Order: sequence, then structure tokens, then C-alpha cells
Amino acid sequence: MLSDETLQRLGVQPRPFKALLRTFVTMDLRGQFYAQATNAKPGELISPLFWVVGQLLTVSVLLCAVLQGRVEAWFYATSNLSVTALFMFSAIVVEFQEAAYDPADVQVVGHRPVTARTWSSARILNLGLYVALIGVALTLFPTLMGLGLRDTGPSWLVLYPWASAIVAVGTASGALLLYAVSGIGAPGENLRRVAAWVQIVAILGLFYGGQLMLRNASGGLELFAANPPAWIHQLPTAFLANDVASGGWLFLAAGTLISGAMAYGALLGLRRAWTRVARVAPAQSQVEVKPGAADAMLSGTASGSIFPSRHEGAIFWLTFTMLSRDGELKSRNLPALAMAASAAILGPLIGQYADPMAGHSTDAVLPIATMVLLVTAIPTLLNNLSFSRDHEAVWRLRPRWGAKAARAVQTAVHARIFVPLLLAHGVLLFAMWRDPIGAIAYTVIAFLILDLVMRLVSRTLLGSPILRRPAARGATVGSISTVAAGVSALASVLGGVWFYVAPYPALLGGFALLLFVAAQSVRTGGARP
Amino acid sequence: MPTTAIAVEGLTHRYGDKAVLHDIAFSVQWGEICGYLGPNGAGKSTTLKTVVGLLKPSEGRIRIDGKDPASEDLGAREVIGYVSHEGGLYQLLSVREHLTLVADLHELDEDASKTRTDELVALFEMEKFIDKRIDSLSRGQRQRVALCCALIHNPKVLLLDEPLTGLDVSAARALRKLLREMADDGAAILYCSHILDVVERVCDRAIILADGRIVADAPTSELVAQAEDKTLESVFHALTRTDKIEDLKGAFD
Repeated sequence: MLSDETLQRLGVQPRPFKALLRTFVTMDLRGQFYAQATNAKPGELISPLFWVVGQLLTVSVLLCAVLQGRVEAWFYATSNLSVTALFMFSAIVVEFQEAAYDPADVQVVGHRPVTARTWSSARILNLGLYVALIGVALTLFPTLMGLGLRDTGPSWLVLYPWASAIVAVGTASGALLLYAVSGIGAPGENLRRVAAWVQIVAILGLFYGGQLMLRNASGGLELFAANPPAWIHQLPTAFLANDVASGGWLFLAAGTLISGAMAYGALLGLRRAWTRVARVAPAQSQVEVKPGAADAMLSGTASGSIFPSRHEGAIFWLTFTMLSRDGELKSRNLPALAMAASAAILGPLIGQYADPMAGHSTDAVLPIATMVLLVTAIPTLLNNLSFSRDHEAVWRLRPRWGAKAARAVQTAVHARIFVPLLLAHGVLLFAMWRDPIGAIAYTVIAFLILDLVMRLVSRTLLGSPILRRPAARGATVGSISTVAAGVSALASVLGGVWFYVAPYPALLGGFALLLFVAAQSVRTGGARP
Repeated sequence: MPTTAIAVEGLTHRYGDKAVLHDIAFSVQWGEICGYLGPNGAGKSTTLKTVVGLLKPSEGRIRIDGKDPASEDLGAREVIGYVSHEGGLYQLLSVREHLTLVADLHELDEDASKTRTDELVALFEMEKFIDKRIDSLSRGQRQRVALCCALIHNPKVLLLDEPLTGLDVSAARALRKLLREMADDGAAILYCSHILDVVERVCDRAIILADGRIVADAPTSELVAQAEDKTLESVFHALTRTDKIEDLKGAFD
């Protein structure tokens, strides 16, 4: 495809370019993330299809199945194109470090006789392949299943993939432009956090549409799809969907030009940014760390009163520190919390955040849904720990691993993530409900549910404990997809029970007691290695 | 060919506001093995990174074989071999794949690079793990791979940051022998290490760095001769333990 002459004309050294591209693709395919997830033997080439692409295919199939036969082609296309945009953005934000910029590049390539243009070209093509793979995963099922809609014809087979490609390229380019503008390397971490929050805002939009469906008691999905709110018509994906559904091409042509221009801009921006980092290692100035709450808590004899041993105190401290200081880990965790955050922000804004204890009402569904969504983040949060830069330090913890050590990990996740979130949420509830008992009861039950699920997840995920695994960064702890599905189902059941017992204090108290007893009876995974 | 292989003039490097190198100046001639010593945090690795072009110096001028290593002119980087203390290896590649990558990056003739690879693999006894993934190797095995990657293109200028880290006795011996042979063939070697007796045996000259400043730059034999117990270690200790580095500056010139 790319001859040596073409590459030379582009100012790229052919042989180093091909060697680098081959290396980058090999490493993408050989990522331990995938190898561990599939229990593959070392050295085997594992397709990322199982993990990232597999997940996207699953999301895509589920959405198509929900919409199939119930909505018109325009709404179907708008929904799928919007989801493509959202997940493409998310994939670039979360996986950018793995897919596009490896800090080892500077150490391996920086002092070799390779031009920055050659290296950045290989990286850009590698990133292009990654974007293409995700794009195909998000396009395949909507294209095939869309053919079965009432109002689609053969032109769908051309127009939908065209629109999907525009959305995929445009979104990926937009995300990459953000990186290019802000610089790559250390400053990129801050941007990742910003981008993760942008993702939360995007989810807010989708959530708003979703809750409108829930609220519409008389019509359901069909009515909502037939009469969507005006803002949906203003989405760029809705304009593209117009052409896909009607067989037009005007918006598609304009979209092609715009996404092409964005891709070109991203290409130039990335090349400039990469040229800077290709040669020069990011400055690693010494960072002074001021002891935080966890350090103070674990100093001296204090740790003895909180944890049975200093060993467990150390595990708590290591986990807490990973969650506090590792910007990359934070940006991986934020998307997992995005749905719950969206519900908690949106609910009060639309007046659907009523006290479940005040009586059964559809307005009281969202506060409980918030908690269900928070619970579903647990497997991801635990699994993400192995992506921390400090994960390699866990070998120190392995020889004396036990059930209490696994509990220390959970305590740290509670202390760093859930307790602060629950407290902030409790203040919000108090401000809204003007009912301190209701806010406290809600917060306590939410914590009990989180704790129970955390312990249960530990039995499956931490049964091969995340911090007891070999110290390979990014090593996942097993089939997280299965665990995540189980947690979603369990959280929904618990949320449903909570909703129905909430107005009855005696039943609510019994429910809380049951949660507490159940949590205490769960033995945390932690068999000695 | 320029008479000086490595020329560093007025090199100052700052991380933020903190200067870690202060007006460093030295040169290494062709055929010379120059030790570059200093306590932890003295600025040795930072010097090497700026010399190979991985860090942009805040001030100063660096030339390798008469060329700027940080420029897009690849001349300087073609002659450099560098072993960093971070390793500088892609962990997910096998040893053979990594060596092939490096050979491709240097655009080496395939037959010649194969011959050279075979020589180095035999020298560092890497036959048993040539097809293993690097992340599955021991520290010492990884260091052998890093050395092979630095040597595969027969560099004229070799910069080594703690090259003996993790190496066993036979590999360390092989490396020392190879360095002497390379220097005899005209290569310039800047050798950064904490193992002073090796520096004493291998290096023609030693530069001692303390707190980002050069406090001694002299032939190793002269430095040792001036020490009380005739060891480089006592010279090193005397020069780097004191708070009054400024007073000692130039004492061994």
C-alpha cells in the first residue's frame, strides 16, 4: 500500500517506518491486557477483538436489539451514530496512552537515527488502525440489523456506514485535536481528566433522553422516538441520520468534508506535538509529596488501631495512594462513575429526585438509579487498579496476602471514592429533601449496598486478588465482563427492593439489617497464593 | 573526522527552577574510555541524556562527531550507541524481534546485522532466551539485551549508564573486554558507573561530578596516584562527601 518511493516522497524513512509500524501493531496485539483477559499463553497473538472491540460489539448489538422494530430509520440511525460518537471519544480518551503514545518510545527510538516524521507517521498509522477497528465494531451491527427496519432500503448498506465513518473519524479527530493542542506527555494527563468530564457531559445528554423515555408513561420508546425533543434534532448525528433515512447526500457530503478537515487538523497537530516528544523526554522534575490524610492515619500507632497489622495498613495506604496520585488511574475511573454522576446532576435539575421514603413515585426512581449506577462501577474500579503506575510495587504485598489484606483494598476504595461521593450526595439530598433522617437513611443503605457488592465482587474478582496478581501493569483479573453483568443484575434487584420497601420504615430497617448481615457473611477472597 | 568525539561546552540543565547541571564542560577523544562518576543525584544520567539528545539542555553546546545530536540531521545519532539505566526496551517484544527492530532503525545491511547479532548473542550468552519476551527476562538478561541493542550497529561513540547493572561475572568480563577492543579500534566511550574498581581498571580518564559540577577531570592513574590509599574510591569519597565542593574544584587539574 505504501511503497518506499511514496514514503520517501513524504519525508519518511521507509525501513524504519515499516519496522516501527510492525512493532507497534505487534505490541498492540500482544498487550497483556488482552492476553490476561483471555488466559492466553505468553507469546500468542491475541486479538483485541475480545476486549475493547468485543465490548463495543456487545453494546452495539444491545442497542440495535432494543430499537429494532420499534423505531423509524431516522431515530435508529441517530441513536446508533450518537453511541458511536460517545464510545469512540471514550476509547480515545481512555486508551490513548496505550494506542498512540508510549513513553518508552523516547528511550528506545529517541537516540536512534530516525526522523521525528518517521516515528510520528508510524504512530499515526497505528492510531488510525485502532480507530478503524473501533469504528468497524460500532458500525457492523447497526448496518446489518438496520436493513430489517420498516423504512430502510438497499441504500442503507452504503449510507449508514458512510455516516458512521464520518462520526467515527470526526469524533476521534476532535479528541486527538484536544490532545494535540494541549501537548502530549505529562500535561496530557490533565487533559484526559478534562476529556473524561466531557464524556460525563455527553452521557448526561444521553441520560436525559433515556429518562424522558422512562417518564413518558403513556407512550414508551415508540412515542418518544416518534416525537423526540427538539434538541435531538440539533445533534450533528441527527443531521447525518436525515440523509441516511431519506437517501440524501447533502449532510453526508458536508460531514465528509468537515470530518476530513478535522482529521487533517488532528494529523498536523499530532505530528507537531509528537515531533516535540519524539526527541525530548518529558522533564521529570522531582515531585514533592505532602503527607495526606491516609499517611497521617497510618503513621505511628494509628495504623494499629485501624488495621489489625501494619501490613494491611500498608495495603490500604498503597491502594489509597494509587487512587489519589495516579492521574492516569483517575482518568480511567472517571468514566466508570460518569453514569452515576450524570444521574445525580440531572435528577435535581429536572425535578425527579424525590425522597423514596416519602412514597412510591416515579420521581423517586432516579435517586435509587443513581446508586444502582454507582454500584455497577465497582468491578471496573477494582480492575483499574492494575493499571496504576504503582501496581508493580504490589509484589511486596504478595507473600503475606490474606482475606484481611483484600479487605484493606476494599476499605481504600471505599475511603477514597465511595465515602466522599456518598457524603457529597448526602449533602445534596439534605438540601433537596430538607429531611436529615431521609438523607442519612439513604446514605447508610447506599453504603451497605456498595459494601455488600464490593465484598461479593471481591469473591470473584479478588478471588484472584488484583493486588496479588503478578506485577504486570494492565493485567486484568479475569473475565470482568461476566462479573460486570452479574453486578448490574444484582444492583438492579437490590435497587428494586429498596424502592419498594423505602416508604415503610420497619421494612427499610429490615432491609438495611439484611444487607449488613449479608455483607458480614461474605468471606472476602483472599486465599494465600 | 573531528579530533574530538564528544564535546560538551557550558552545559547547564534545569528541571523547572532547579539546576541539576552547572556549566559542565568536558570532551572525550577517539579511542578513549572516559569514566563519568558521581554520587546518586549528581547529574550523571541527566548529562548522558542531554549528550544523546534525549533532553534539551537549558544552556550549552554538545557535539558528537562534530554534529548536534538533538538536530534532525541524523549524523550524530548514526554513530551513537546508548544504554540508559531505564533499559530502553519494548517489554512486549522478544529479544530477537527487538534486535531486528534496532537493526532496521539503523538500516543495517541484513547479512552484516545478522552476523553482528550472532556475535553479540554468543558474547553475552543469550542463545537460551533469544526468543523469549523481554518482560519475562531477569534484570541481568534485560541488561544484556540493552547492551546488544546499543552495540549492534558498531557505534563509534558509546555512552553507557551503569552498564554492569545486574550482569553476572562472565557477562561483565565480556563487556569490559569488548569495551577495550572497541576503544583500541578508535571508539570513544563515556562510561557512567558507581563501581569504581571497574572504572579504575577500564577507564583511561575519569570525570567526577558532585552536585551537578565537575570536581575532577584527569587520567585515572593520576587521580589514583594522588590518593592516600591509591584507590579511586578514596578520591571519590574525598571529593564528593564534602560540603565545600567549590574549594576542591580544580584540585586535580
